[in-house]
Amino acid sequence: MVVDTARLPRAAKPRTRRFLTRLALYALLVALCALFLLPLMWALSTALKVPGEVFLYPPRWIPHHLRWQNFSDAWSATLPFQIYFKNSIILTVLPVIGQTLSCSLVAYGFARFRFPGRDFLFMVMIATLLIPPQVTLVPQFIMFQHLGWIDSFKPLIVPSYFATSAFSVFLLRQFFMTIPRELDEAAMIDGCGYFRFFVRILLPLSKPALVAVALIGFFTSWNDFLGPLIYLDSPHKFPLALGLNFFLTTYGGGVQHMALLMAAALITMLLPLALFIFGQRYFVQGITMTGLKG
Amino acid sequence: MATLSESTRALTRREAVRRFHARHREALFGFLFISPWIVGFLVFTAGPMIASLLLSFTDWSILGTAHWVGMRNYTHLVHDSLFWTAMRVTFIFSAISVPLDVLASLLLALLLSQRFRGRALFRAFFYLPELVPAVATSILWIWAYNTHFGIFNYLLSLFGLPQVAWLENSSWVIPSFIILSLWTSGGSRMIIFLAGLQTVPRELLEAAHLDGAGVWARFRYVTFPMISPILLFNLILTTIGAFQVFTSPYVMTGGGPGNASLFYVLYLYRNAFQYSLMGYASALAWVLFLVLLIFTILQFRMMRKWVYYEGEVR
Amino acid sequence: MIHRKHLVFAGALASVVAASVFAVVATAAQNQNVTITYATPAGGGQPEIKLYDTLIKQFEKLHPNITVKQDIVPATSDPQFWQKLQVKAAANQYPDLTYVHYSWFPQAVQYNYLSPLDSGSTNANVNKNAFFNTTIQQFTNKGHLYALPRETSTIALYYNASMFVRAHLKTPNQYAAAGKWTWNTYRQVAQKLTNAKAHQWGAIAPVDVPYGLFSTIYSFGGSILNADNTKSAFDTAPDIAALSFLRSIIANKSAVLPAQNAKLNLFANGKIGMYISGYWDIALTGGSIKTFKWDVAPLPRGKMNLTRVASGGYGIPAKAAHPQEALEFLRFLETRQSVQYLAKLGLIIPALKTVAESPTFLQPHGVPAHRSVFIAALKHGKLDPEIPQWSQMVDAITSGTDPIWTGKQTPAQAGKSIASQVNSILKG
Repeated sequence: MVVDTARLPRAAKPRTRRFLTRLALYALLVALCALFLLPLMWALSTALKVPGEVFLYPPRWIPHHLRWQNFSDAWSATLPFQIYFKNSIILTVLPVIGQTLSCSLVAYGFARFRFPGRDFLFMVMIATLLIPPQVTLVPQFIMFQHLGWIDSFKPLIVPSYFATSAFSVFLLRQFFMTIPRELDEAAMIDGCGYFRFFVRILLPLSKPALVAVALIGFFTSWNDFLGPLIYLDSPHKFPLALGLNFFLTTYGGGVQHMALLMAAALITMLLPLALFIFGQRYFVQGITMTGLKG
Repeated sequence: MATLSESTRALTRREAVRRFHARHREALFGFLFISPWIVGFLVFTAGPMIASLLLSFTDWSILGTAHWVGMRNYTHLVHDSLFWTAMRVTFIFSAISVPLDVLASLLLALLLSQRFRGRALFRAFFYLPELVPAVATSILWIWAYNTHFGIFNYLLSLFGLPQVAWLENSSWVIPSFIILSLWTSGGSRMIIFLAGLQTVPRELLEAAHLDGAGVWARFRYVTFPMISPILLFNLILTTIGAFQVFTSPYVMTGGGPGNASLFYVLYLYRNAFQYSLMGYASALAWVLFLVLLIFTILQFRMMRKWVYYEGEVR
Repeated sequence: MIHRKHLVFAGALASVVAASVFAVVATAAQNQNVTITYATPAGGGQPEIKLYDTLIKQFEKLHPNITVKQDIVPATSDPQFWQKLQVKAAANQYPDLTYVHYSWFPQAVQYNYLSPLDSGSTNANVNKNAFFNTTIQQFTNKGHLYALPRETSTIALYYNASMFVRAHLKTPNQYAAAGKWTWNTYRQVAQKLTNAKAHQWGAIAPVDVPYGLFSTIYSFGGSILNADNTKSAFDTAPDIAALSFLRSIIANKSAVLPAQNAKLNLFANGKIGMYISGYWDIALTGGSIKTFKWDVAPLPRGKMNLTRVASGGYGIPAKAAHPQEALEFLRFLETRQSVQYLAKLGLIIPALKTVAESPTFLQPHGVPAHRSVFIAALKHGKLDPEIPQWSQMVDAITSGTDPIWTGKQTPAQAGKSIASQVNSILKG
């Protein structure tokens, strides 16, 4: 995919040229989007099919009979979806809050302060991302077992309040470092302490970054599969990500369940999608320099 | 230092003492702010990491007892042809998918940060694949990639193009995973870039425009420096992610055909939980750690020339 | 002043108190509620969980002091279930009863994860003859039985009857009845059914490891390892013959490769003439195949009339907290009524002979009419070799045979390469 940045529309061009570039832009976006969404349109189409229709060849895009019932079947008849949904909410909202709070604090520390070993500690934090979780899984499990946290939500929630997401800390640190130091100095002169500066000035300026971190954290937890699989034993504690697995038995993804699986998957996407549409409005152009003084 | 009068010396001394206390205070607060991470690291992360390092020097099988074997796992690694295969597969995949991923999501973010109607909708569309549960994604794409009955080959046949044995041809299997990776994670990199583009002050862009800078020049001299910290972040994280790909090859190809998609972490997982060779798997993990560490440090070093931090504190 | 009678009285009082305390404690211990856990991957999904819930309620009525809790592990594969059991074992956590799959059973025994069920304190006192011979064999190791069989499955041929009729061919069952259902006939039939224009193929090549490939090899008179499991047999003549045969049906384009986990999906769209799979696909169709008639038939007859068989069962971990209660539950699960009830799932052939051979089970409820071929095949069942390095061997065979199907290596070359890889795996 090659986009000619010269085609990005900006003010003060002849109107027809502007219109044409706008049109080209839209056309490109629509084409890309269509290509991108192809598999999802297929998923939607599958979700509305009768089992016998799912694997037909040539593929049938529009089912002969739209079986909206698949969605209600996926929700109620086969699984206690409401329970899974509730668990997913708990296992997502709580960690996200913890993550956003703790990671912004830690990122502030790394971004704005000088202290011995800072760069080394930062590298150590990044280094925690480099180890595949498959090998730390067992020692971690043993540790949580000693704490008595097995078959509970605690291993999946508590660590997030201690900035265990190096991803989020790193991202926020990069953001904080784009904000000019003059702000800090001006605030200090005005008698503002470190913490007040952080809460009153830095955080509001970093809204896009915080929203990004919260959204990504939400979606990661929402679809997290391995953690719940290992730490949860009781089915009534399962989140949606595990519940979906019941459509795929160890006997293989059966013909009869493909449509339901797609319907269930689409259902699990609704809430995150709504959240995204709501959250992305924070990605609005620009902090203005003038607004920063005083 | 040149000769100073007594008063100046006293002033400097007081200033130095004040600065010392300020530095001291700054350091203290610095530690205070990162203390949640220090606690979390010591409690939740350090122990397991050290444990896995120690395990790499044993012959542990999870169910058996661990016996110290020194460097044996590491020397065995060097002679293990599957280790080299896994490294090669992962390397080739990463070398292509990382630049592609980062570039594509950057361009997309640039497009979608412009003001136009329906922008929110387009952003949501491109982000949608990120929200699909991994289970459903794998099943969907196994079917889409099916050689004889999948939708991709069906579409190709409609245009008279030759069919591709996406997951059955050893030359096509890695490109297939590259495409899949673009689809699944392009969205989150895009919103990180989108958030990063918000840090570009509009006045600067307008000023540059008034000065006669074209679109490319504005990008090169205003936008790019401002988002370079975020670009570095995405580059590093995408590289790490590419090297740790696991679920999709596990579900979709089982490492085939003929080990052409034997990604490193897939091979690691098998050793850990299927071959009862957890000690060896730990050694594999720490070799990967070293490789990624070298890459990460290199990326940090290289980018130091290019990355511009407005508010950097050295 | 203390007199002797005071002492006697004190002694009597003390012993009465002691006795009553002992009695209370003893009865309390007896009436103490014990909760046992049953770990399962619930391969049959929600329906299986519900069936077990019902059985558990019945069991708890009979044993009021035992509560059973199902620990569901919704793994996407059997190795993933074993992964969780291992992780828990590392932290000294064991279920009291667990589902056991043949693929990791040898490893479990190697590390003494399971208790023997035919001796010692966990003796289930079952009549081994009540089960199909191969299922008992599967779970016997070092002379002891370490798991009680629950289900078993042989491999058979699924075919699209309507497609055969359209092509004016005799069905595999008709060929089999005339004693003519051989691999050569299979190849001819596959070729006749293939129609490139109609996007139709005669068969899915049975090259998936282990179901399709091992079944074919056994039928050709080959084996996976030699008799004492010390050497690979992939470089032997019968194995190479099987590999060459499979290559031929792929090369002449009358067979497609099996997509991951999707054989039934391909078959269900009516474009495949025949494919080979286990008993579970019958239930997995869920009655959703309505556009064509289908049935099952025995595998083509090769040099040997053998079919691959494998089983799943229940085991009691050696370090389980409540093995006696688990044993009670296990005995209950293996009663005729329980097994019959579970058979309702339709996914499995019960390992208990009386249930599997009962008319209710064999009764064809519609489709497929010949489902009894699976049970009949049990008489010629052959087990895969049981080695702790099973997983490693399977991976080596899978990656080693792939070049044959893509034409990059000849069967002989690949066979040799696989043999040397497997031999070094066996040496450890």
